[in-house]
Amino acid sequence: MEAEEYARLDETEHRHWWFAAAHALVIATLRHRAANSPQPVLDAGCGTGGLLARLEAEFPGRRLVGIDIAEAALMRARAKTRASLARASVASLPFPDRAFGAVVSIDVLCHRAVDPDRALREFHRVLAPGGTVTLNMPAHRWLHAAHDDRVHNRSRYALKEIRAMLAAAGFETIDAHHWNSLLFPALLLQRKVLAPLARGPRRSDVAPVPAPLDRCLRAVMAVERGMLRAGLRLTFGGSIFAVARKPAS
Amino acid sequence: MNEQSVPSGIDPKLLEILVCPLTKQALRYDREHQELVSAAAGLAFPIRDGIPIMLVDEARRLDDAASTTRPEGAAQ
Repeated sequence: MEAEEYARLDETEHRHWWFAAAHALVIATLRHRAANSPQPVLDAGCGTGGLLARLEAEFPGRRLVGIDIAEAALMRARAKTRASLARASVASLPFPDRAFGAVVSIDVLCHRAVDPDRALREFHRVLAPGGTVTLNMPAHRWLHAAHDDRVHNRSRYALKEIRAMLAAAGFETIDAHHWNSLLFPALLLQRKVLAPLARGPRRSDVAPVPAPLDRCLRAVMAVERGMLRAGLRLTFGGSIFAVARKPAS
Repeated sequence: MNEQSVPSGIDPKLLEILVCPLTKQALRYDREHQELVSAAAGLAFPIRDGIPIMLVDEARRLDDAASTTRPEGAAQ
């Protein structure tokens, strides 16, 4: 990411509806799939540590490990969390086979410097048999916008591409679905109409939102989580959330 | 001893699970030089501000003694 984006991310992620919603999906998944694993959780591409801080609060006593390629991000993460931190590449993890009960990687494999297939093979290697990988990826290639350039996204993805990538790395996909669907019309308007018209420097969408709007968007996300829990699966949405398992044998 | 006397000390729980990113072999912790040494890969990974840098591009080659500034008599 651009250096300035780390500062923006660090400042924004703990109070921005999008991160709250993404992290809530991760927490629900870990609670459901990896609550009883004695092995640590790896945040592969932990950035400025917002998710690790939330996991620490949600799962007290759970061993948490975060890696990131960017030193500036890790320094910020260290101020937020007591998780173990190392600077490393997701494509070449400095951990032994079967060391983790769960691997989480939020909007990392889409990064233009990352080889996603190699990273997924590494996640598979470091997971214990039966362990869970949880991914978030930006959805819909045609939605590519200034935001993606600023955070160095190589690409945005289709559901079937992510399922195929997971299968190629040896995972069984448990669930892969779009989310951030209810706000999708607003996202389209912002990305395709308003942002291209705006003057000034091109920015990511990571920016503070006025508190009343943020509360409103959080409420929309809560409704959407209820819909997802009820089994509703939509074919559109800003992100793809995927949960897959390393087969037990 | 206070905590400030080891400002760059590495998290011991992390040390337990780190391996060489290249060979996936065990590492030797060189406390004095704050490095994690992979004998198999011939690389020493620096620890800066307590954070191990497990990137091959940032590692010191073990045959390249000139690239490090070691205190007198500190070599092992």
